[in-house]
Amino acid sequence: MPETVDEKLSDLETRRDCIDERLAADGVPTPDNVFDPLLADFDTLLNEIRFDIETLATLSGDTSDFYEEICSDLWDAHSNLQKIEKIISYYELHTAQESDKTAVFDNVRTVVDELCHPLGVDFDIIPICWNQTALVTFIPEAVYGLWLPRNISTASFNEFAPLIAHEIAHVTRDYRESYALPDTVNQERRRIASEFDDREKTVTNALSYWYEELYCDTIGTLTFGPAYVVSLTRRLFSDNPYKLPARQVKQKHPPDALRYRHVMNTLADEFPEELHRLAEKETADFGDHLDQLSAKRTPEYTDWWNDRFLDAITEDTKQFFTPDTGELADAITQPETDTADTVTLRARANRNLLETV
Amino acid sequence: MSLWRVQHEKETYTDLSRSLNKALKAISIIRHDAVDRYGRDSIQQQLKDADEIINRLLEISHDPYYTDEELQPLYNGVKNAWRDSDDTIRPDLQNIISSLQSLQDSTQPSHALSDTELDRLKNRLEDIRDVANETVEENKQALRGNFA
Repeated sequence: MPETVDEKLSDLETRRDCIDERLAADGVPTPDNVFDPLLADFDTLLNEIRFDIETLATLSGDTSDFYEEICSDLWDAHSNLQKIEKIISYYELHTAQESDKTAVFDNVRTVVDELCHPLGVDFDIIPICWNQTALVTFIPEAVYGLWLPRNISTASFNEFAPLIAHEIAHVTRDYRESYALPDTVNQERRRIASEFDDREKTVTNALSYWYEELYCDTIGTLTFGPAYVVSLTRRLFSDNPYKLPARQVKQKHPPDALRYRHVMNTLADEFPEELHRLAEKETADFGDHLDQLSAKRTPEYTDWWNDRFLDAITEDTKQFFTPDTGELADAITQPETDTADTVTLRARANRNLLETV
Repeated sequence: MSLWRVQHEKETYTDLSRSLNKALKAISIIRHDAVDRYGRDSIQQQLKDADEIINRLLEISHDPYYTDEELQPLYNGVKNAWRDSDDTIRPDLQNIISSLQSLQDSTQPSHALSDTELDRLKNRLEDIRDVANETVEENKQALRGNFA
């Protein structure tokens, strides 16, 4: 590792040149709308550092503070560069995987396009096969990467597709006016947390994280209907579905049992009874799983949340977008009639997962 | 998977740390009488950006449910680092704000505060920047474990 600011600067300049070479290489599409703003930010920072290093040479007296501040900027620049290098690697990996996964990647893009319509968002998605389902931001509101489980195939795609809705729901956070908790949700959080004398802070923080995940589950249910509930329950598995966070909140997801309750309630409120019943039937195994582990449910489990908190999340979600639940329900329950283009793939996933339809 | 959250937090805190470091540099530049080299407007902007961050922390100190989710971890971290409570942290934050404002308002910023006051201001801002950096590091570790 270089020991002086000059050497570190020179190291960053060399890495910056390497990025230009990678971006110029044939075969991997590296769009300007992704890399131009990132490189412009980096170049601005690098110019600033160059100027500061020149300034440092002109100063007299004790300059140790200023030297340390330049070091801090150099670390930020290093971190910026790592981010750009990582995004190029995503594009390289995506390109390398595309020939084997063309159909799956196309399906992902089709689902995302279909979801963008009711959600009123528009962005590019770069799917890559990795080790789980997750979303990474390249450029907020413009380009995101989507990790897929390694074993995803066209045969298993219908079961996976609804989970994309949860990840895309995270994208919508970037489109909202603020990242802050909505007032109505915050009021309920305050009411719940203030009942805890010694753990108020822990509960307050946990409920912020829970809000975000439950918001994404709400969007998943409103956009995919029963199929989301079925896919979610097939993925949720833990030895304690009633687990509450310890004092230092590292557990960012709500307990599995609460997620199940919330998505089933949302389904019951927003979709016809017939579809709710089918989802209940298809998720009966998960209900058994919860029953088997019911001894893990502590008396304070229900102190951490209430239905008003969950309802406030649903209402907040519905203020962000107008769900097309009617069209989707019709397309699922009346497959013989013409299906609206905007729900085709979602209706198919539901019919596949709810075999009795 | 909530990688979005971890990544969002990391990037927010990288920006916070950078803003606070810019303010620290601005103070060093003032101390070394090198304001002309950077331009007064640019120095003032950097102090103003830090001022806004400290004001947001102060708002949180008045209401634990104040919905500034992004700065909540920074606030908690600083409170722990200074071993303060919601009440005792306020005078420190208010002192930082008034010192930053003195530097912004003065026509001769290098004379606006004594050496001791400048040292105290820098120490406090450094503490806050370092807490922001710790959050970046924690999230970097979490992301590294997940490749993102």
